[in-house]
Amino acid sequence: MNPELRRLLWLEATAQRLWLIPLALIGTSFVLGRAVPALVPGGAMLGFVATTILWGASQARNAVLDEVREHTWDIQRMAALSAWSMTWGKLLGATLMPWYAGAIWLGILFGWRGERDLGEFAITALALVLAALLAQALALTSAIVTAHRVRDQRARLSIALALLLLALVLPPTFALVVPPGSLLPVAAVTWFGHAVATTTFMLTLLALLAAWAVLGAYRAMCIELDIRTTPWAWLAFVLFLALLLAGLAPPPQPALIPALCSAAALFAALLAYVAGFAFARDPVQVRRVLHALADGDARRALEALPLAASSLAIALAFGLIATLGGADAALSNERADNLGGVALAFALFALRDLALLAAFSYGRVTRRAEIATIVCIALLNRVVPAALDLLGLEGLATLIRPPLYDAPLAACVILAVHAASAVVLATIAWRRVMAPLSRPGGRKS
Amino acid sequence: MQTTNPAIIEVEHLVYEYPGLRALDDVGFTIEAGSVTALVGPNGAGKTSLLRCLAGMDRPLAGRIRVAGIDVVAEPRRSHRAVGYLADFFGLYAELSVRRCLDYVAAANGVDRDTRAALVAQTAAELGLAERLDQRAGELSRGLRQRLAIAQAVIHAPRVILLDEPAAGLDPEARYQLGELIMALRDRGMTLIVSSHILAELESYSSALLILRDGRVVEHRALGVARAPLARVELEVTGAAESAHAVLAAQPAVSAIEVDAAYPGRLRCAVRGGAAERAGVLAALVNADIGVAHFALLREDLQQSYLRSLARAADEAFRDEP
Repeated sequence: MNPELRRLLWLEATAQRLWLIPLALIGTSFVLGRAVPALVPGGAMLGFVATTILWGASQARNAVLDEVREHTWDIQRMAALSAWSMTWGKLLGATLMPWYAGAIWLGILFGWRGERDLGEFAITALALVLAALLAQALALTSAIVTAHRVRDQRARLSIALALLLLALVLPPTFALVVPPGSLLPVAAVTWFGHAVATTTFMLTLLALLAAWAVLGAYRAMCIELDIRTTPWAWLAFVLFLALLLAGLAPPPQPALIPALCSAAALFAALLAYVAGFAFARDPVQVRRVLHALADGDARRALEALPLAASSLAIALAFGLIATLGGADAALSNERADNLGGVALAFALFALRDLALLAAFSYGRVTRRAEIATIVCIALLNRVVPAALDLLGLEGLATLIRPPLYDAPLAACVILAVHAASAVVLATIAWRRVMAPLSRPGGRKS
Repeated sequence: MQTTNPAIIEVEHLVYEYPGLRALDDVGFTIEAGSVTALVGPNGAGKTSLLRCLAGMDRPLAGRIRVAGIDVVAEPRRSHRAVGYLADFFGLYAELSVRRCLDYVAAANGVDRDTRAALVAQTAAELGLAERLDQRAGELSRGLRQRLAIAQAVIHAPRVILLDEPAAGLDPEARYQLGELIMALRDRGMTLIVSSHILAELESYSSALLILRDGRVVEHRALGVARAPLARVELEVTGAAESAHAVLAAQPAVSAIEVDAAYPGRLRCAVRGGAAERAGVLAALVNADIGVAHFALLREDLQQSYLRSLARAADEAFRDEP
């Protein structure tokens, strides 16, 4: 048996829990069934969400963070277990009791299904199981990725800050990538011209996303265990999202390659934000990449490259191809003349913002780098342009917040200047933090 | 350092950096199999960084580390089967019994199921934990917790064991037992590197000394053997110490002559070279009609040796300043 799974089994599956959980769940359902029978199926589904999805996600997250807090993570890092054994051992072991409770809830749901046929129950059960797996795998991934914050005794990026960041970055992206009414038609989803039943489509999508989340947990574990990897999975995930989105474009279907490129650039830019804020920003890693490049070892450089940088490179490459290829019809968004240009502009936005994050992280506000960056993004994207507009300085406002949809190519030029300036700031900050190493003995004076 | 046994740890040009700080700067050394190396140095010298790099826990910026023939930088996970590591701030699975803690670590390090139970019992017996196998780890005393942590580090019979400040927080009896344990592990053929600030205890079981300062190796040598180039000698003469001082001062191999004010006729000096040079110094004293009652090689203890090496390194660093 997987040693990690067995260890968690020892800890989680206590005799008390094994009889208390069914007693509590079946007892609650029985009482509810006697009082308001119609509420039992809904209650069972809600119970599944509370135990298997929410509690399960929390257990998966704590499977890593508790180890870091209790200083036992080093024992695991010193073990000879493979990253995959460690990942699935934790994912299944930490969530054993939530799955145990979930199985009981599904049993109750099955027993109270009433008029619903078996197929309908199976779809509901499968959707719940896949959603739980997705939530747990995402929670495990986020715990592995943010373990460095606990190790460094740094505050976690608070939920409020994460939401603020998403509020700044997501709406324009979302408006672009999800044409109104195209995602969830009532009966069927049209994907690359093929009509697929919505249920089938959503279940398949859920299953694929759950599989990606498990793969994400595995890859994050590889990074944490110092197993060398190249960012192929990241690129594959970007292409998967791009393919998904390009296929959803309403008819007439755009040419596949430009559509894929513009969608890939958008998703890669979005993922660059996620990676940039989530992973540790270690200036030594930059030196590692430079060392590898100086040695002419491209593979080692790729292995050492932070995921945010890989993602930015992917976004810029796809954005450039989409712009040059004229992806104007790619996603049939009437707001933009050249969606390829918009995709490239998003990539440049990401480059600018993440370079600012790097500058703050390497500079004097290391511990508040995320907040400083979010404030900066808010100032650049919202506050300053609005203030300039109020003062009647629309031209100047355009230079701060370029017209993304009306003139995407001009926006790209302006954003390229923004990004270059931010990269210069980041380089100065990096040089400053690494500079003492060039002195004899490598000591800070 | 010259070695007689085959090298089990080889480190070349190792560089490890934190932002703005080079923790290890071009470190290189070899450790022979079956030795116990005392890793010493002031706080911030790079001891923990070095141990973590050797254990494959932290990836160096540059350099090469081979442990038991495995390239640690390229294959850190594979190297873990050959290495046992006890961190300075270690944790234990407080809710698990001692037996389960040991069983888990053995399984996670690839020990097969058939031999695990026997191995757990054997390791627990060797570490004095046989009576505690069914006790929860969280209920153990500090000394026993340390023993359990060491048992976890050695249960898969690694060829190399790295212990970072293993004696920290232990009472004198537990520290003595730790020394006995380290010698027992050495007798089982394991190679150990032990980092500690308690030099007197390191001396009782170490066969080699590795001193780090400012991320660099200041000294690496076998212990129990006076350094050939410069030996400390203590002598006692029957006449006036001043006469002996004059004879010694005339010898080119002799330096750093001290007259012991508390003991009339007792002197100490440094003699550059080996036994022949020391015999020459003795002959010079006898030829000058000085009665020599005592002439002995001073065996430096680890503390003196360590402080002397650090002082010399500081002098050299001062001289190198532009």
